[in-house]
Amino acid sequence: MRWLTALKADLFFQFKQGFYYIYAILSLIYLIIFSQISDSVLQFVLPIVMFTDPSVLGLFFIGGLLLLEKEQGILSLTYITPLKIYEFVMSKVISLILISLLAVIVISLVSYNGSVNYLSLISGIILTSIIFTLYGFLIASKAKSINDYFVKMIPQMILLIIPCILIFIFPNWWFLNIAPSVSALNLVWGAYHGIGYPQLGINITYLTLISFIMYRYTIKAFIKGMIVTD
Amino acid sequence: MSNSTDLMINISNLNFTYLKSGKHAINGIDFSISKGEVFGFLGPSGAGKTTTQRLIIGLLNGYHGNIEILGKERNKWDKSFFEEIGVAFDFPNLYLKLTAEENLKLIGSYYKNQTNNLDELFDEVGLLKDKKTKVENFSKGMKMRLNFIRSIMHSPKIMFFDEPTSGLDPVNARIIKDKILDMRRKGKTIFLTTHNMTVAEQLCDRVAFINEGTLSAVDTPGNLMLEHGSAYVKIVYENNGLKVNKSFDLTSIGYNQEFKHILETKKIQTIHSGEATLEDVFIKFTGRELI
Ligand SMILES: Nc1ncnc2c1ncn2[C@@H]1O[C@H](COP(=O)(O)OP(=O)(O)OP(=O)(O)O)[C@@H](O)[C@H]1O
Ligand SMILES: [Mg+2]
Repeated sequence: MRWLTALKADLFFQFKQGFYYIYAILSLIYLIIFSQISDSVLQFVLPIVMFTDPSVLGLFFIGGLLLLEKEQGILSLTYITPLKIYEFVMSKVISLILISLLAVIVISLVSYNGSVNYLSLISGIILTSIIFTLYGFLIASKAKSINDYFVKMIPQMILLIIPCILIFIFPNWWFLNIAPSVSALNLVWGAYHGIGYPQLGINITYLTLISFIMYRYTIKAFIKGMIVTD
Repeated sequence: MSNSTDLMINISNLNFTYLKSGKHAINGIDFSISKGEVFGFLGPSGAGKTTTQRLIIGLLNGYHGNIEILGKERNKWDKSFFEEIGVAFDFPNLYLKLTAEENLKLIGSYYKNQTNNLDELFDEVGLLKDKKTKVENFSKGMKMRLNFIRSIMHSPKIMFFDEPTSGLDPVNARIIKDKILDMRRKGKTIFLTTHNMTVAEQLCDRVAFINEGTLSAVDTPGNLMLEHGSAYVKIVYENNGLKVNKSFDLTSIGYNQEFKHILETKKIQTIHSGEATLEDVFIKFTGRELI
């Protein structure tokens, strides 16, 4: 259970870096705004916010965290302990899933009275979080500094977000569903607008597969880019 | 493969080139280190000390030749390797936002072998009263000491220290040096990288000189000084009202005409004799002054 220890360490580190304060304030602002909006409008606003939350969190936080750890020499420090790389990656991913889930569920419960498919919401948040966090890992592995990370990350983020915007304008362009970001959005959107079991099953399976492939690739890129050089 | 169980590290024909820059940093080096030995790796800046250490630790990949450590080739080891070795880089790797104690507890939790007495460790390096202080408020020397105990808290068999006393005042340097000697007494093996010849002389059973990626000598400091250094006589005298400094080899001093001439004709201010030092050996092997 060394990864659990690592998870504890990550949560502790993120807490001490002050990440959770920023996050709590952000969530509070959402709650205040949402309390002023009627449920019929929220049904459209909430899924978009709920989807953006873990994706932006995944991308922004992981880059900040990794490069902060790199600068403080924590990455090389963790490397010279028996902690395995996959345990390291997994614990980072899980730590971000946990705060996303917490924020999303609290916001949804407090501000929305309509019906919610929590299976769809939770699986959507978890998978969005995994994919975007791993994506952040990949970009961070190629970045030299925090600034460099953001410069590299923003165009990639736009690339992921464009198909999500397109699917609203052209709902018939079925091929947009191939984009993992769209597939994840389907789940979160479906949580507030109803989603059939086949749809739910297909999106979850597809995203799980993508997560798995990305995970394998990320670990390699991460070791090569951020720790062991040659 | 070695058949001696006492051989902890055995390096043969090690070659390494940095891919990005194409720099051939390590050029066919050989050495081995036995159990309980303090092995000093000496050389000028840019010689390849850190590179060699990073290769042995596994932070650099793609070497040629052999790095056998604890009976197994380096690239065959998995991460359980780090249960057996302790590393302190030349730069303290610590969580700045956490206290000293939180740092050790957090990192310590990754190891099977966990210290049950952190306070004793803190006390040994004079950090007991600062254990609840955030590391970002530590001085460089305090960070170095904390980093040092961090590297040894899981009782590894082999330890790697890169410049362990750099930036420390004499008292704190003494603390670290004593701790290293103490670990040697406990049968630990220590690989030490330094520019500091006094540290090397005081601590090392054997030293290796590396220069531009090539080893020029591996022996005990005593033997090296005897073979390559020479005792000297240093004389200060007045010449036309000016102060002049001159050094002569002690062994042939009796036949030295210039020395005799100075003694007979000049007004002598001081005469000192001195032993050969590791510093002389260093300069001889590397052709460079100490940094
Ligand atoms: N990451 C790197 N990429 C490319 N070349 C490097 C890298 N690190 C070191 N070098 C080169 O390899 C050679 C050996 O460097 P190394 O850091 O091993 O020296 P060192 O003996 O540890 O020096 P110092 O005493 O200054 O720490 C140098 O020529 C250096 O420029
Ligand atoms: Mg160095």
